[in-house]
Amino acid sequence: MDPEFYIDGVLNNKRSIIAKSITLIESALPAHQQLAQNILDGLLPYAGNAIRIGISGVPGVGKSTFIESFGMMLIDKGHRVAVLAVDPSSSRSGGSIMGDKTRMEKLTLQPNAFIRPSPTSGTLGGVAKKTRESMIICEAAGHDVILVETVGVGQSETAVASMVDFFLVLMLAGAGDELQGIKKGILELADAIAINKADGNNIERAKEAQSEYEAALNLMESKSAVWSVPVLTCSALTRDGLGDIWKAILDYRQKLTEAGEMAEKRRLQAIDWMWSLVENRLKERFFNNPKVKAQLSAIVDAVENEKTTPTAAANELLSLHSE
Amino acid sequence: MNKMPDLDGGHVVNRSDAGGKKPRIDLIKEKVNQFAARNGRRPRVLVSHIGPGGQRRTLNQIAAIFARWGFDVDIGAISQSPHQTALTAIDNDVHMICLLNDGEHQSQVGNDLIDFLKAHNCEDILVIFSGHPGAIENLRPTYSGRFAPVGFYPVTAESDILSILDKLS
Repeated sequence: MDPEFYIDGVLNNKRSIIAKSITLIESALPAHQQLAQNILDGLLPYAGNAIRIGISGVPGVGKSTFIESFGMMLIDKGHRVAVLAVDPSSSRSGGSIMGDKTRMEKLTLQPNAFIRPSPTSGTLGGVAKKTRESMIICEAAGHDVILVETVGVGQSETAVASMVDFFLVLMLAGAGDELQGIKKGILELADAIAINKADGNNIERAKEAQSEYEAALNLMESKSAVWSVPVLTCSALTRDGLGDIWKAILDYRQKLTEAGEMAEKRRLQAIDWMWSLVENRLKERFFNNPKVKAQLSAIVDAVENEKTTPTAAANELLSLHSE
Repeated sequence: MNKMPDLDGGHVVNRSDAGGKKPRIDLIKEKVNQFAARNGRRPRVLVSHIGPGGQRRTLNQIAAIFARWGFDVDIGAISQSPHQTALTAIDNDVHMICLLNDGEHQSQVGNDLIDFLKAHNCEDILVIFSGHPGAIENLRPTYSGRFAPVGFYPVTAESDILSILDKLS
């Protein structure tokens, strides 16, 4: 297939072509990857203008409902919104189950919205790479707000935080002990914290949680000279507070741009991206190496049956690879 | 409609014993893996419910079956419109849509869905049905080769999914 076909389709915002381009990015076939690379080269000049927002939070915090309401608000304001979901749940057998759209019924129907969850199965830690490249496709298609959703467990937040302009962490007002359960790491990544489900009887508790988080953040070193991380409350259900979150994001962008921090952030992210590409390709080469392929399962078995040590096995595999 | 047979391994094991051949589920997994090797990704299916009624639990059960076979599965909402389902399928670039519907308006719903897919030049997305057997018998002439019952009658479904996988490749 001709890359021009895809480039034209994406630039003309053809939904099915955007979708198929992302499929090429996600494909494990070398021919698809080459084609995807050519498409990306053609689209790169048209990308980079969107505001990229990472959204994280533990399961049950209401991410999908939040994205539905937040996305609809942005579309009402005239924006074009793309939602990319990283790290959905996987099943044991190898297939992934992705349910991210279930609570985005209105957003799904918008001509100005594009929503795409990606399976994680069978990828060698390459999800982050694929999401970065999918962002380029969406930006070139004219989406000016990219929302990257990630589940608040595991490594995926760090990966997502390193590819977005703004990282929003959703929290719940809980039983009061929630601060203990929260990894300090995720607070360090946050550019804003929003206490979701601040509606009805929960408003008071949300306000309490808000001051607890503010106190916790006060103890932490600030990432930016011009930005202190705000703690907001919102309700994806009633849409209260969503406007304030968007205002904070715009405010953040303006302040960091003026201070030169935004350009610096994107430069550092580019270096990050380079290293993660190097890492991925090394892994790919390793697993595609015929000598490694031939010996891999035997060596894995040997470790499993305690016939060799993990260290010896790793040394052997790596020396096979560099032979 | 509400009565679900045991969808877990039970059927599968029995069948394999009877024939003395490879369990059918292994054949499916094999085909799915071959598909993935050829296409660079697993077959991707959207499980969706269109129309009134419908149970979340049923969607999840059907999704779990596909995942066990090795498919990547998108779960749509219950009570969607054909347009919502079509757009979700297009954005996610799925190979097929497994449609749940209580039967009564199934053929209309299926037609509408296929029309929306055609309007977006995506008629290559296969539409299959999971419903009660009566509805399926009635539909068979309408959508010849475009659907198979999945989930409620695993025996039929597993043999059908094998021929569907051939069609997808």
